[in-house]
Amino acid sequence: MAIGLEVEKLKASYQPDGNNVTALEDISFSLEPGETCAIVGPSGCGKSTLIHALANLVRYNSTPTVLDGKIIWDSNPRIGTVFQEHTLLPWKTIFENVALGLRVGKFKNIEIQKRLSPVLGDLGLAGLEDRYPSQISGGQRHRASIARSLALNPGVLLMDEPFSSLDALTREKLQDLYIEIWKKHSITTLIVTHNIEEAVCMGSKIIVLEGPPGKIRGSVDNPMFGQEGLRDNQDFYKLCIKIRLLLEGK
Amino acid sequence: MNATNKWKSYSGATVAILTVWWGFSYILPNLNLPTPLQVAISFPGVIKEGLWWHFIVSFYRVAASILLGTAFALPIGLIAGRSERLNKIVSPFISLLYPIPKIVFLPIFILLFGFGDWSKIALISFIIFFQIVVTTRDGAKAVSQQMIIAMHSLNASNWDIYRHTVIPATLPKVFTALRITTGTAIAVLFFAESFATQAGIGYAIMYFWGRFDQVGMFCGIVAMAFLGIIYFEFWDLLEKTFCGWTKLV
Repeated sequence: MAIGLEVEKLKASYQPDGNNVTALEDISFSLEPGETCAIVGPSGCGKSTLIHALANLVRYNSTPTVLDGKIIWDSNPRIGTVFQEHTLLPWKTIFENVALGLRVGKFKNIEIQKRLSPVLGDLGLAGLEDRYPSQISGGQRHRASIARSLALNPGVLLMDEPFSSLDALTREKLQDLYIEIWKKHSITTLIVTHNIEEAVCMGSKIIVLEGPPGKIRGSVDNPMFGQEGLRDNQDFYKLCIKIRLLLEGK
Repeated sequence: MNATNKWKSYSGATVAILTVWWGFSYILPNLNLPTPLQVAISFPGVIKEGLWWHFIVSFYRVAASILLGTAFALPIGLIAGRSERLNKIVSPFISLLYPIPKIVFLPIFILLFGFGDWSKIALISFIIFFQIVVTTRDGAKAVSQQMIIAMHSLNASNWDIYRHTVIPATLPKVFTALRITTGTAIAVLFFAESFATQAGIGYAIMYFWGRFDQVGMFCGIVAMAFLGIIYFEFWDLLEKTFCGWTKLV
């Protein structure tokens, strides 16, 4: 079941070499259950820090991060995270990589099989289960990485520039695939990206960050989200230009 | 490398070594080197007369040393590689003790453990420990932080992270270290067996040498080569079983 999220006056700072560096400042926004939101901003504005903070991964960073403010999940958060790199384990088959979260969660084999079968099918990975990450394409690796998070049936999915290392066509295919999955499961999704078109494709709400330190410059609703043939629509490009101007501070 | 290719490369190397050996035995008659054929003819007899027993003793000593040294080195290396705190404690000891030629401690080990197997096993384990611990620590340290963060995002415990990520990522480096330590272990074993013992290939080689039995001595050297091959093949087999993914294209 999808869950909602409220972030209130979030501040994050870290001490890379003893000096305090503020990565995020006064970040406030909320997501309804099942809503998708794209956060777009230039490199270094704290997008990845935001994902790490929301996923509660910051305490594992090599440098201590101080968080201030509130992150309120409206129920017990089952958070899935998809990273910029696919982070699949090269010594495990695709099946074992996708099953990793379930293995860690001590699920029984029969339950793992039951859960993985539809996820692998949804992400077009059926037939690739016995291959290793080095034996499949970059796009397939990213699909496996998304499948690994979806297998845990998350209430919210956080995506940290998940398609940025892919070529344009593969990236668009994966964006469309993810929207199909979202239509089926209505997972609350927060994706950060530096790509404006990707933000317009993936977010029903688009938040523009500036920085460093990362602050919200503005937000735009995207009524076109989820429409068929979105990229052929003139309004799609108009919205991209609007967001670009917002990013440029014009 | 598949079995046929391996067989071919072993055959090629053997022919090359035997040719050089044969050449030397003819070019330098003053050295009184036996020819490979003389050694090959005598080898079954020397084995039967007792070299087999020396072989088993040496095999056991190397196996016990590697097991003992690795049993201590692996956990320390794996934890030190991921824990800055433990690494700060372990690193100065490694830096101070690793460069010392530890063979100089043989008299101390003999005093501590006597003339039997344990003094030799303890010495070789001590040497192996440092080689494995350094490689394992550096291998564990090199595991991508992004992979660890991804594991945390799946709610993995520290044990899960070791089991699914750090250990498999470090294993190929451990096998490389084991191959290197096998050579070191056999070299140290020869030295340790060359005095204060009456068993082991090292002892047998020195025994034949003392009797000017060059053929017997070379049978011992060939037995030592076999000892190394068995261990190398064993590491290859284990690596193929546990790290097959490194050979994928």
